[in-house]
This record gives sequence, C-alpha cells and structure tokens, in this order.
Amino acid sequence: MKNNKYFIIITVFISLFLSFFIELFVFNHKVINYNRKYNAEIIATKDIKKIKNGYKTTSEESYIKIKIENQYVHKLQFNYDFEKDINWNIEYIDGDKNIQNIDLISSNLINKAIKKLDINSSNIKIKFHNKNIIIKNIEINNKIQWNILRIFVLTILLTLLMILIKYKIYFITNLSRTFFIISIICGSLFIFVSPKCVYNSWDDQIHLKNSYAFTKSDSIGHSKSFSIVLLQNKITNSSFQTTEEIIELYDQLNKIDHNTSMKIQINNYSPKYNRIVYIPFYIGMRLGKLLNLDFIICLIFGKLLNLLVYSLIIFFAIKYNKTTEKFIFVIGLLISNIFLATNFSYDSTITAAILLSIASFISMLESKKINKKDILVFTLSIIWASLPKAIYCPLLLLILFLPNEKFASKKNAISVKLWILIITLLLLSTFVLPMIIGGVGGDIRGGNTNASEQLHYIIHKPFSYIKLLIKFYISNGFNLFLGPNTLCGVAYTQIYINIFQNFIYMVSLIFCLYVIFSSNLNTKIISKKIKGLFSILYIVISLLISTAMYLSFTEVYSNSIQGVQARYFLPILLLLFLILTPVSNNNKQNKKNNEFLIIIISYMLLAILISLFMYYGRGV
Amino acid sequence: MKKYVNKILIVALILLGILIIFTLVFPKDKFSSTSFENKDRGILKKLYNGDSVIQTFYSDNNYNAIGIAFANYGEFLEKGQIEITIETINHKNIRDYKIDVFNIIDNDIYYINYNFKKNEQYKLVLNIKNNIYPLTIYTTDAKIKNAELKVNDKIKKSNLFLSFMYRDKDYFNIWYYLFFMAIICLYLCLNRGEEK
Repeated sequence: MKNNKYFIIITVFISLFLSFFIELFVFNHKVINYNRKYNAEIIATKDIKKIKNGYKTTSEESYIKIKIENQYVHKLQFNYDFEKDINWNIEYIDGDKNIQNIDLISSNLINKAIKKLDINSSNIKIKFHNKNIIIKNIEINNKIQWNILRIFVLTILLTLLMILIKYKIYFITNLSRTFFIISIICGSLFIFVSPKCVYNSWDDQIHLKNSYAFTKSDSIGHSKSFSIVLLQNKITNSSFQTTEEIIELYDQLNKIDHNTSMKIQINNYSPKYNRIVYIPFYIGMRLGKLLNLDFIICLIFGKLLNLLVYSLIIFFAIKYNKTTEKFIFVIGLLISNIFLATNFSYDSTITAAILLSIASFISMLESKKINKKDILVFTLSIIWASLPKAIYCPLLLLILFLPNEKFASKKNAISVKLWILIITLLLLSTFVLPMIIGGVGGDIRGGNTNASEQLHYIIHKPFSYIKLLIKFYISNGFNLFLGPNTLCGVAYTQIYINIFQNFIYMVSLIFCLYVIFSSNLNTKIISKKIKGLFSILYIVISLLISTAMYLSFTEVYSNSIQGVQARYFLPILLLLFLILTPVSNNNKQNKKNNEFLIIIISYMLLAILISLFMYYGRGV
Repeated sequence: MKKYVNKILIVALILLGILIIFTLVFPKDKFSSTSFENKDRGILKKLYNGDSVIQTFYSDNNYNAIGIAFANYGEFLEKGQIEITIETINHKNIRDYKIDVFNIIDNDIYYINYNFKKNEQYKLVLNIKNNIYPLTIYTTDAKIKNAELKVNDKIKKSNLFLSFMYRDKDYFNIWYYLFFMAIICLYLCLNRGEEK
C-alpha cells in the first residue's frame, strides 16, 4: 500500500516536471530567447487623434505604425472600444522585402485584441477600417506564458499513462473500471481543452436550447450570454484567434449572465418523450445555477454530467457480459463517442444504451434460462435509445428469436414476446404520429422538402428507390460504417486535428479491425443464425436511417440522400463487430493477452486527441 | 412483497385504462402549427431602421397565432424594436405589438398571438425601429392564395414564410398510457415467469 502511494507521488512529480518542460519547449519555444512584454513605440500615424490614455481613429483608413524590438512579434495586443466588431489588418515587410498583409477581426463582445502573429519585421503598420475606434495600450507580448490548465492536463495524462503501465494486471482484470477511469478522466480533460460553448458538434446549439428549456413549452427567461452563445457568427468566427481572447470572451459571458429578463420563445408543444435524453444536461446546468456558478461553468457541468451518465452506462455494459466486454470497451472509448459524450449531443447516451442492450441480449443467449433482469435491462435500454430516435427500436425484435425453452414456459415466452412486439410497434408509431397529430415550430433549415410527397414517391416507385439506396450505400457505405467520422469524428473542431486526422483514422481503423479479428466467438452462442439476424437488423436499421433522412431532409424526387451522418451508425457498431468476428466450435473465449494493448491504444488515441486540441485549438 | 407489487401494478393498469377513456372523452387543448409552403426559401434585403414590410394573406382557418421567421446575420441585436400591426383588410380588429429585437433568435420563428378568422383577408405590417445591426425575414416563392408582399412600398414576387398556430385536441397522452401499460404488462409476465 505504501509502495503504491510513493509510486503515485513520484509519478505525479515526474509528470509535473515533464509537463513544465513540454510547456516551455513546445508551447513557448518561439519566445524563449525573448521573454519580454513591452509597450509598442509608435513611430507614425495617419488619421489618428490622441485622446486621454489612448488614440481614436478619425477615418476608415487610419493606421498606427509601431517599432518592433529584436524584429520579432509573437503576439500583438491592445485594448479597444467600439460598438461593432472591428475590421483591421497588419501590414509588414518580411525577410524577402515583400509587403505582407494579415486581415483580422476583433469582436465587440470583448475589449481586448490579442493576436498571435509570429512575424519577423522591424516595424508593423496596424490599419483600422472603422471610424471612432478608441485604442489603448498597444503592446508586444514576447513573454513566456505558463498555461496552468495545460500543465495540469499534461500532468494528468502522463500520470495516468504511467499508472496504467504500472498496475496493468489490475486494469486488465477490471476492464469495466478501467473504462470508467479512462473515460471520465480523458473526457473531462477533453471538455477542459475544447471550446466551452456550442458549434463544436453537429446541432449542439439546438441540443443546448432543448436542454435549457427542458421543462418548458412556450418560452424561457434567459440571459444575454445565452443569446450570444446561440449565435454562430458571434462565437466561432476568427474574432477569437488566441486562447487569451477566448478567455476574455468567457469572462465577458460570465459577467453579463446575471440578468435573465430576456425571454425567447420555445414553442415546443410536440410530445415530450424525446426530451428524456436531455436530463443529464439539464441537471448539470441546473446544479451549476444552484451553486451560483458562472455561466460557462454551468455549460461545463452539463457536459460533465452527460459524460458521467455515458460512462456509467458503458461501465455496466462492459461488466454485463464477458463475450462483448472488449468490443464495448473499444467502441466506448472511440474518439467519436468521447467527443459526442463531452458535447451537447444525445447520440452518446443512445449509443451507450444500445451497447448495454446488446450485451444483455448476448447474456440471454448464453444463459440456459433468461431472467427478468436481462429482459428488463434489454428492453429499457432500447426504449431510452428509441424515444428520441425510433429507428433503433427494431433491435427489440431480437427477443422474438430467443428459443422458447429459455423462458419459464412456452406460454410465458409467447406473452413476453407479444408485449415486446407491442412496445416496438408503439415506438415505431412515433415515426408517424408527429405528422398525424401535428407539432409546432416548422423547420426553416430545410429546403424544398416534403415528407408526404417523398413517401408517395417511395410507395409508387419502390424499385427506383431501392436502386437509389443501393447506389447510395455502394458509394457511401464504408465511410458511414467504418469511416473517419464514425471512428474519430470531431465535427466542426476537425480543424484542430486536420494534419493528423488521416493518421488517427488509420490507427483507429486498424485497431478496430485488429480487435475484431483477434477475437473469437463461441459458435454455440453466436451461431450462424444469430449472425444472420444481426446482419438483417444492421441492414434494416441502416435502411431506416437513410429513409428517415430521405423523407425529412432531402428535396423531393432527389436522386441522392442528404443528411445521413456517420454518427447515426455508431450505436449499431457493436452489431458490425459481432458480425465480422470469427467464430469457432470450441469453447475458446476471447484471447486475454491483448487486453493491455487494447487499453493502451485506446488511451493513447484519446491522449493524442487532447494534445492536438491543446496545441492547435483555442479552448485552453 | 412480489404479490403486493403485482397488485399495485394491476391497479396502475386499471388507472391507466381509466385515463385513456378520460382523455378520449375530455381531451386537453394543445397547439399545432402549419405554415406556407416552403419553396425556394430566400430572405428579404437587409432591414434597417425605417424599413417597412407589408404582407397581405388569406386565413384559411381559425388560427391563434402567426409566426414570422427572422434571421439576424449571426449578430446579437441588443438595440431595436419591430412594431407590428395586424388587421383585417378592411381595417378591423387592429392590434399593435412591439418586439424587442434581442428576444429574436436567429433562424427561428417568432410567434405573435392573434385570433384569425377563417376565410378572412389580413394585413401584417412590420416597421423596423432603432436597430444598429440589420435583420431580415425568410420568404418563400410558393404560390400563396391572395397574398402580396411589399417592402418599402415595392411589391415583391415572393411572400413571407409565415407559420400559424391553432388549437387542437391533444390525444397524445393516450400513447403514453398505452406505452406504460405495455411495460407494466411485460413486467407482470416476467414476474409470473419467475414464480413458475
């Protein structure tokens, strides 16, 4: 016990030291030789009026020329005051005596421009394209900046890696706990290094609004911060180029959050059953509000609670069944799933619930007699996943293929299967009920879409539609089932990993294929019949996904299907794994000796992702 | 203990059955919406202080609210109001509204309560006041009966993409009751299987 304590303490210190080293020589290597911040010396101006403590532009072609010491600028910063966003640019002469221009925007939400330039020049001209901008405190910042959060994140990542290696026997034999630890730690670190607001993940601004208005139907009181966060152009544009500007933005959002007198309409009178998936976000944000925490922290709380729920469900899914534990471990820690679990998206809990349901189904296949717990876990998980997205409810029909001998009696088997079938039909009815009973809102995002006309086309020209489906899946199938967006999709934050995305994807793909083909399933449990069943279900759900998008998101009579995204196939990825995994006649279970490799590779992919976000991103 | 649980669940089943009948006989009201056909969706020009938009249209039902799809070019509109007047074409039932622009969400529909009568022609007038940043309204090129759009007194080919809310009977709770009944029946079957 004492040795373990000493090991952890020493590991933390080593990690801390290495983190400081990385912080200095990786993130601050450009300024090591300078390490100075100074007021810029103004050598020329045009259409600039000197005022108390600053300057004011008097035309749309004003400029200030400043001298650069040591001919290097890491960051240029100044304070400004203007009622709108300001457009400005920097002109300088580079080493080859060419005139270079950098166009910049600064938001009126903050009053500080801190732009990373990394240019070598003896002077630069700062040109403003707006009249009446007040400018103060122009500084050149070539100082080493110790980012405490980054050091903290690196320390944790390195410490966890060393602990995983040192105590590998424990982690191998407790795969569910290992998953939970890695998921919570890496997921939380990922939340800290990512942009804190929305427009990171697909439709996350809609999910934020729905989570915020969880219990409301007509309107909600909200603050200015909330309105601003929903505005894509305000939050995601290049007005916030550096970490410092992002932090200024968050500080400003926190300051203006106190007044909740604004009211926005929700007008969501549609049935509430599909809102249950927002419960973790709602509770997280409410908890933050209750504790009187800042606006941004409340958003983080919402994401953290969703991550916790996701991790807990998968923890139980791994624990549930030995046959699927490795597969669920790998799928649960895929970059796409961790990304979705740490953003305003309900896809992650849907995926987790379906993984749990498939684990319980395999458990039922393995048992001589199925118990109440297995059926309830199976049914309730699929219900959780299907209420927001009814396309996954056909998974319930797996129960119909269980032999009656596994139930208490034939009569009992028939009644249970009948009720499951009724529940499936009720869930499937949620496809059509909204069209029949009507809702409120209207989606103005769509173009010339018309679900009933589209349905009419499918019914009257089924062969054309089948041909369209086949063509669609031939061109897009692999990308959707095992493509980059399935295994390592990070939506709109992809720019942070662009350079390495192909590498990350290849490693993820090879890793998943390795896990599949190095495993072995018992043919008595996963028989050809069961594999066939999984294949049919996989195809049916895929067709439902594409048909739902064809009806609701594609222009009428179009010869392609719009809106089908790889993340819709994440919940059924385990089915694909089970279909592809080889089976054997003997009782040989999954190999145990590659579990450490699986843990380390899953962990390293997440660590690489977090590191890339720290280096290229703007969240830290 | 299990017997008590089973009895409670049977009582719950009966209660849910009663609720289904109650909902069928005494349904609550809810709001549903309909809108103009969304064809070749576009937007008006940028609207600034002093701009006015007039849309005439025919009400084909007894609607309770009208929705206008605003967009604000991704800006936070802190200052500005939209003065709205709704009246029949022969200047009856005039109602005025004032919306603060900061309550408008980009690319979303804003609803105003007004009781429209079936088969009446109406006029919707919007006047933009005091805004710094522009806003706009979504339009549709679909043919709308008896509809005409004017922006600053100039007739436009398209019409505003309008949405309308109306009261409807809410029977959806029946789905919830049936759903819970199915889950309870499943649970009772499983309990019976366990007893065997």
